[in-house]
Amino acid sequence: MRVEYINPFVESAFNVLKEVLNTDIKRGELYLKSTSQPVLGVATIIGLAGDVEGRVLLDMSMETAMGIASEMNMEKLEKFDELGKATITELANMITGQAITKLHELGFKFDLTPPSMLTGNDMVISDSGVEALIVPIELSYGKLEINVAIKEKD
Amino acid sequence: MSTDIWELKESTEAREAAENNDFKMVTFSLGGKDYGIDIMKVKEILKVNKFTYVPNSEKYVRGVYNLRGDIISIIDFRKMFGVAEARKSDGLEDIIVLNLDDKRIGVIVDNINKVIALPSETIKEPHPIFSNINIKYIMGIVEKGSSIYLILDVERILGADTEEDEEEERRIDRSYNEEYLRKETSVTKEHDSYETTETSDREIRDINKKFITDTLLTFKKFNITDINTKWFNRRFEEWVDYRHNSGDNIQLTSEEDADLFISAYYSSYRDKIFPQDYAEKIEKILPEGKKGNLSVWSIGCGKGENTYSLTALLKNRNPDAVIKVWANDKELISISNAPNIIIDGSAAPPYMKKYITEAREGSSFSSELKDIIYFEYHDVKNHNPYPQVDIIFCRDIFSFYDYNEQLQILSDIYEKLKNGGILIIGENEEIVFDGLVPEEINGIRFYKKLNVD
Repeated sequence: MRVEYINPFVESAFNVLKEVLNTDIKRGELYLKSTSQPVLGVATIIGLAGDVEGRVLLDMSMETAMGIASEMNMEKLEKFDELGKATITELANMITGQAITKLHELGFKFDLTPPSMLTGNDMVISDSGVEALIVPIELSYGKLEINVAIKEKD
Repeated sequence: MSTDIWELKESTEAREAAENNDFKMVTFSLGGKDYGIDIMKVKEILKVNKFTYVPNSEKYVRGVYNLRGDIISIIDFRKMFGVAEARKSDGLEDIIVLNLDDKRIGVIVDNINKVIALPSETIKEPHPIFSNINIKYIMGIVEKGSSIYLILDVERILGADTEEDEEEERRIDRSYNEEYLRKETSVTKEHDSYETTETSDREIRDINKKFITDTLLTFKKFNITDINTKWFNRRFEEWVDYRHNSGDNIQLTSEEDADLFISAYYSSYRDKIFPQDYAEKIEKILPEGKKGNLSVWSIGCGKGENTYSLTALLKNRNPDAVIKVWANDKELISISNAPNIIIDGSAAPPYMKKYITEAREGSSFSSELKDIIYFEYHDVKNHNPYPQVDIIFCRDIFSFYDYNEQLQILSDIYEKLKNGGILIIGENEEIVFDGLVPEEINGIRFYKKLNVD
């Protein structure tokens, strides 16, 4: 993944989470993962198109998702219902949207697809022919990973 | 009569010591005293700081450790023998991995020192006053230089034994040891002494080599494989001389030692802009006057100095070509700096001059050069999403991958190289691969892909 793409994603994830959660946020070391990777439990995917092809995956455990959704709605959610799902989806949209805006300012043209959410246990994601950049983020509710896989078009 | 024998023995002691070094031990310190372990029981040495704690185990069991896929138990000798604990400031523990029958066990000691070779006749019976370690665990005692070493019987220490048969075992053990020593001695005497010296020297060399190989892997993830064995053997000889002259231990005891050892591995002008004379040599192997597309894959480019140099040379030689360069590194910090690297513009060599622009922070490369290089944070062992290229520049990276990864990277390189394309690898690396033919121009070695079909 081109180095120019890294910072916009890291910064926007950090800014958005800090703004909506009012909590301490710690960023872990960035690293690369190869094709097949386990998914924590609640995964929101946004596709990227344009100059590049790829996707952004916002990945977290169910407990983290509940914590974030409760905080963002300012009420304690009892189960992961439509409101909870909509909240996490929106969070993914906000992070990716802000990153794409930053990239646009740098001269890269990306288009987004609407987010889709998958929940379940023991899930694995495989992207053919591209490695993923992982931005781990520590929240008081648990761990969250922004997983970005972008490939230049030939 | 007996006096004569003793005199004779004393006068020849020095010579004998040099000739009959048939027993080798790894020495280490524990609570300020020196100990040795028979080298035949030692698999390797490690420096590790993270162990997986095992609940409900004996207090001297520090935990388990994953040694390249093998789970080994880690025993703390200090706790086992009640010696005061000397924690290292960096938290890294010196560990000797022992091969006992089919088991592997790692033991923590204060400091691993070196390998000592000595004649087995010089090993004496242990005496109880020498150590706070129970005498039944001591195989023998030996004097070397100014130090006295207690040779530990690791099999007894780490084998299962009970209080009841302790006495019995001790008796058997003694007689076994005596027999062992007698046998050793008689074996040595059967050989002529010259041959013995040669064999043991070579053995020590091999053991030292193996230790260095292992420590390079531990400290620097540096693998000795077919690609760099020639260099390694050369470097080892150099290293032995160098350490001998400086009076230091041959083995690599710290990351700095390992760094020093592999500093000789890196190719010329690594992490530097090629100077004019070197650039003129490299230039000769690059294509010239090409039109159409010309693409390059630069693996392990770091901050990109070499990649910028190579791209400038290519542009100079092929002004009409459309050049595209893919450059990647798995070091996030280095590669992040690559697109906006600041250089000393006044020192730029002539071939580079026209690609330098002045910015507020200093000189950097013009967009004419920058825009055709795609710097990527990417690990070459993962999938490489590139089209076929004309040139692959890949210096000094293979050794940082294990043998299987090297094979995979090499076959990926072959696949991504156009027919007739060239591959440049490190100056101290050598590959044998079907379809990649070695060539040399002006002292620059490279490989050309020639289709076998």
